[in-house]
Amino acid sequence: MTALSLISSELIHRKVQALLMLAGLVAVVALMTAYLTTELAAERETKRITRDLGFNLRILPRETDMDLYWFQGFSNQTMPEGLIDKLARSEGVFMTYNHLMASLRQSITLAEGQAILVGVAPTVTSADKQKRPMGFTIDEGTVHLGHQIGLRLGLKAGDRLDLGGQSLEVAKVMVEYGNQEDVYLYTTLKDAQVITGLEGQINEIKAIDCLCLTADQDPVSILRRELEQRLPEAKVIQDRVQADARARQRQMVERKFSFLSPVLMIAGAIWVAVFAMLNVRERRSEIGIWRALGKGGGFVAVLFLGKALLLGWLGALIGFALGNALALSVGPDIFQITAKAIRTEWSYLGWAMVWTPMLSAASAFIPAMLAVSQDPAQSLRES
Amino acid sequence: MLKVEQLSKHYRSSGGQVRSLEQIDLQVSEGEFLVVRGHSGSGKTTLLLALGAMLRPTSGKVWFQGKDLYGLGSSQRASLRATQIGFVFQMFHLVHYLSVVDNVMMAGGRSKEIKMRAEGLIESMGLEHRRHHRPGQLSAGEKQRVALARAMLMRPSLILADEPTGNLDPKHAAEVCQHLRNYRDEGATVVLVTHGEAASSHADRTIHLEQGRLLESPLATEAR
Repeated sequence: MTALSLISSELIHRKVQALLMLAGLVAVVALMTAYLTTELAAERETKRITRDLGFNLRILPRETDMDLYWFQGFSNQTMPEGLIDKLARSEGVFMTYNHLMASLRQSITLAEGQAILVGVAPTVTSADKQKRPMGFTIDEGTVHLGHQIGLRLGLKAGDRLDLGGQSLEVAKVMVEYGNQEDVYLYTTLKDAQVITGLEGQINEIKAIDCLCLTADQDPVSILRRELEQRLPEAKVIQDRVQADARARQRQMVERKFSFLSPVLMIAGAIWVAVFAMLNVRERRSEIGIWRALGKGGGFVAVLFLGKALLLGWLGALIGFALGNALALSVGPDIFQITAKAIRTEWSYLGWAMVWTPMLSAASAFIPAMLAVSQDPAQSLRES
Repeated sequence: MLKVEQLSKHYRSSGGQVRSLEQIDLQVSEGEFLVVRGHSGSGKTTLLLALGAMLRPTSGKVWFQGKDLYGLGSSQRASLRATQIGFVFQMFHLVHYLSVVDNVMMAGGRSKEIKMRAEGLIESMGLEHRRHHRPGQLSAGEKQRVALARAMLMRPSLILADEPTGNLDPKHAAEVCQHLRNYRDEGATVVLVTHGEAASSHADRTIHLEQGRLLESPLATEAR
């Protein structure tokens, strides 16, 4: 008989023990698969939630008067629009910055009141990460009015507004945000540059930092050091409260999964080891007779480790199927924003098929070595 | 065939040192059917395991076909057990999850020749109707005949039988002894240890073991 047929026959003979051993492996793989599959969704959802917190970095012209900046909400200086391309092209920039968005902000007088005209360019992201653009899209020749401006001008979507000799269509009047955005007018960067006579100029690049450092670390000094090398004509400021909130949220999610995985694996390993030990004890006489028949320690080890490997593979297959089904059925209820993104992660099947037999064999290793080192004469005499 | 010189085996136990065998000298000729008789705890099984390259003695030597058994490496001893020595035990030691034919073939490979030999032995033991049964479905006598077939599969030159009739009724005990006798008649050597008398009538020689020592004549050696 081959080792495989011996192992299969023994598994069938001690089916309850084998099923219990298998159940432990299936549980580990199923929970890991379900967790990892939903973890991906959780990460996506966390990234999306934290991204929606908004940009937390502002890259401004170096000569910006910061007193005035905080007073009026935009820089009194400008910088060439081409700087955003220069920044985006610099090596490794997207390791630190994310979603670069150039804008030009200027104060304008409108119906005997002040307003802030914001011209925004499409967001620039890393070409290989294919990130979705942030914020809303503005078509050329259109304007989005802040809530207060809409009230002041008495305009609604579809009306036209003349600004600096440009006739713009009101695309929408925004809901009340309860902040300074209520006095903003959003246009494309190009329209704003024409309106203000600042062609080819911007005065702010907004971004999100990718550092996700903890509160006691100082990301600003890292950001400033890197920006100095890439864009000496600019400086960076960070919204610390928002950045910390982003970092904490992401770290919390990562910590949860980095804690769960080893706990599950250790529990599974102990479970398999206990049953492997029981199996060795039950088979003392069998081990003795195999040795009496001239079979070596390697053969005995193959019987026990082979069984662990076989159960590992079975556990991986069944566990993956169960875990995947669990993730697909429960995941969408938990992660509603990214529900559609929860899908079968086939790469986990590959990992499960490699790691589960290894975990199982490693857990059965000590019992198998005890079987190999067992004195056959002693076991034959005792049984 | 077998020569034992000053063989001793001592164990350590919680109650102190146990002298299981004490300075045994013994010679077994090729083709001999030797019965070793002794009470329970006299060292019979220890002697058998030492003769079968399974238990390293504390001192002394065991020569098998001119080779010092315990001067050989463990893989060489395993190879000898696989090809030259067959074991039969009182408790049968059949593998519960294997059928009769698979239990018999445990000792060999998967070749057609081995398979035919196994089938022949099963038939000669009167077990052809049981060939696909598991040990749990067999009577004690049938189990022992399976164990005998397994021991004989590789045509070993030596069969070591430890109380093979201990769990059998007189009819089946006689059957087992007869099978061993037949195998001896084919030219093999048989050493059988027992506390009973069932096998003595088949033996060429019977020796007595008591408290780890071979008794001197007239009881030590009874030539047939």
